[in-house]
Amino acid sequence: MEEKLLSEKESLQLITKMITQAKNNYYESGLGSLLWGFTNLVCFVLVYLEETVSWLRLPFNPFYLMIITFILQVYFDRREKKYKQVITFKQETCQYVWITFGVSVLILTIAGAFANIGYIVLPLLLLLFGIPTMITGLINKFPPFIIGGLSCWIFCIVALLYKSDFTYLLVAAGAGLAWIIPGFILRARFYKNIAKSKNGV
Amino acid sequence: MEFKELDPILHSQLRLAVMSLLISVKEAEFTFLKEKTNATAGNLSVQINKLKDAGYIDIVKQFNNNYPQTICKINSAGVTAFENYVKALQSYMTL
Repeated sequence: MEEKLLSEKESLQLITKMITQAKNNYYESGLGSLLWGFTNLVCFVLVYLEETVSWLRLPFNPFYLMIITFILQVYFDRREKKYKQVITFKQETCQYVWITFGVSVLILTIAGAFANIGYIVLPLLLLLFGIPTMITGLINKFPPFIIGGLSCWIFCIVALLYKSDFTYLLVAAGAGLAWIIPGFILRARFYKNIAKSKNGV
Repeated sequence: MEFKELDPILHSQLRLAVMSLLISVKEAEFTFLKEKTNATAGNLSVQINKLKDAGYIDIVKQFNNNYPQTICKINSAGVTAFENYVKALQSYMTL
């Protein structure tokens, strides 16, 4: 780009072009989505098996896996940060939404365990899963997250209406639809973008 | 009809491109601005410093994993100047 004076029309065209370019810079590796999706899937399937298979007793609480995932998430976030050239307002908003979601889940699960409110925690978890997923999908116009969020809310209704051990599998399925499938799509898109930038397309 | 004067700092191709990019994001790295504007590093650096001297943007220079990093962010004076510039342009366009 050269240094030259612009006409009024050219100035407005340039402003529009640059704003569009900046807004279309959606960087998301999908790693966090996959990480949390698989952790939730594994945790809730294990808990379901423990509850339904009489001889099965796990030597650890499956939810401790979440701590490992949290540590991995922090590590990957730091690693990815150096590749991020820009922070958009959308990214910042989504980040705050997910932090709020994380705190809400923590409050619900810890306080829920102390209050011994049992099965109601699972439908509420599904309800919470749907909120940040739907917001992220709507903000970034990314249909897989929108479908994932909707699925969680539908599963929440089912879990509220039919109280059984099967609810654990609904939460696992919710995590799969809300995060694992969109995570793979984001990952594929991410690698495609890397290949594009390497080829200079 | 009164003509609004166009801000000479913003009324140049590269500086306007940089401001338009920065108004759309929270913050951006030098490499992002270079990639989007297709400018040379030297020219971009000069223009960014002019915007900084005008008080329109803030620049933070830091190291990320031993690599130098220049982060640019538009400030409130920059937002006001950009808004006034767009309003002035619109007044010319409606003539």
